[in-house]
Amino acid sequence: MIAVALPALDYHVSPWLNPVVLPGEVEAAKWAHGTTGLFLADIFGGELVMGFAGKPSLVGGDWAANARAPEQMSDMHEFYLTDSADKAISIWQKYNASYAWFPSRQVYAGYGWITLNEDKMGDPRFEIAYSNSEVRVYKLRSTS
Amino acid sequence: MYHTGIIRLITEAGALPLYDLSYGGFTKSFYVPAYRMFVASLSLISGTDPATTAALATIAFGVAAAAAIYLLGREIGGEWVGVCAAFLFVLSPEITIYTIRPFPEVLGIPLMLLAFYFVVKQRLGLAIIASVLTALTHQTTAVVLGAVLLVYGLLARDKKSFVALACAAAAYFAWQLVSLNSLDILSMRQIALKESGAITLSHIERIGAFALLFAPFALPAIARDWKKHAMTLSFLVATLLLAKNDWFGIGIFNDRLFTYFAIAAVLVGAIGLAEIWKALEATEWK
Repeated sequence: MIAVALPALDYHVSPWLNPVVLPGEVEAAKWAHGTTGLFLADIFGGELVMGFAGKPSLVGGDWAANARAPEQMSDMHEFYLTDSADKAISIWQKYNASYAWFPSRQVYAGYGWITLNEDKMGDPRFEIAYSNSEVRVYKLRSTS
Repeated sequence: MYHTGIIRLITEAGALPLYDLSYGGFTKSFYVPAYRMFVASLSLISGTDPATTAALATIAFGVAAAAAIYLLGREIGGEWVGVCAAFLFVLSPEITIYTIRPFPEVLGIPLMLLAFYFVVKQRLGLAIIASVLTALTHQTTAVVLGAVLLVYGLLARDKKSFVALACAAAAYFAWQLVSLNSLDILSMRQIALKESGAITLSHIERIGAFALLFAPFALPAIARDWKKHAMTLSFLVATLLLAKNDWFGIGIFNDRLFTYFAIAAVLVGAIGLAEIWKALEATEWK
């Protein structure tokens, strides 16, 4: 019985063992423990930040009590997809965010897997707060 | 991981945070607290990082769940049913998927099974404790607990089942009143917007090949003495109706509730497997 059951177990369970996030994101999440403020991240990156840093993310977690959860998922999806720095900043300021999470993988903000558009983050209004080979974390450049 | 985040905040602040981390952290924390408080306590006592503690606790709670279904199976049908239940439980892909991640359901499941065990044993005090703890550990498991206790109370005409159910409901709603100043469950976004995933053939396969294979052999045993198997029947019927609540036009959490139907199916499969063993023993052909 075991000889039959174990391969079946492996077949069905293996997809659920995929951590999705990259090892470098775990290091970034540990760095995030020393920060304050809201993170703009996808569901997986966001929950990593919650788990290792105890910081809130715009999407991720339990949306039972938040009436705006679908709107936030839509905004986060747009934030990653847009090629407009102005659009990205308007979303950033809408939620008074502190950081934005850009991992080297596809992201899922609630409306399907997408390839993020990071070119807009080259705008001089953004700067890198933390980076490693697998994730870049941006913040708004201070104007003071 | 988001539950681990709250656990981390509890260990750092010494108290449950007022606001959640989910979806911006804009809403008050309303999730029932028992799992988070318990794992946070373990983290503080052991001096281990909350993420590590949550991971290790997941293993312990998973083992506890297997032990709990052994107890329930043994109480229902004897030692062999208990052993078979634990065996099929750990081989079930559906159950494995939901007992390998650090979230409250992995503690809710053994507590729920213990509540059923104490109800069958007619130990009201312990049934109440287990039911209340279940309600304060995981909301979805609490719904399943309530549904099964309701059906069992009607089927077996067991008033103690209703007492345990009432205590669990009181505990949950007291918590919701404290955390959200409201008893309104229906306005929760996941319920109002009908978060759910369809039950497909893949889900049926995930119950476990051998639980499905042996389940039909349980039918004669259940038919011979349905009162003895009232808890099994209640578990099966209640979880089937919950998992397929789209039949009633509800369509909420179908895929999440299916896990509990899988547990009930494992119990039925265990009864069937034990019947085969008994038949083989009777023919002295082992």
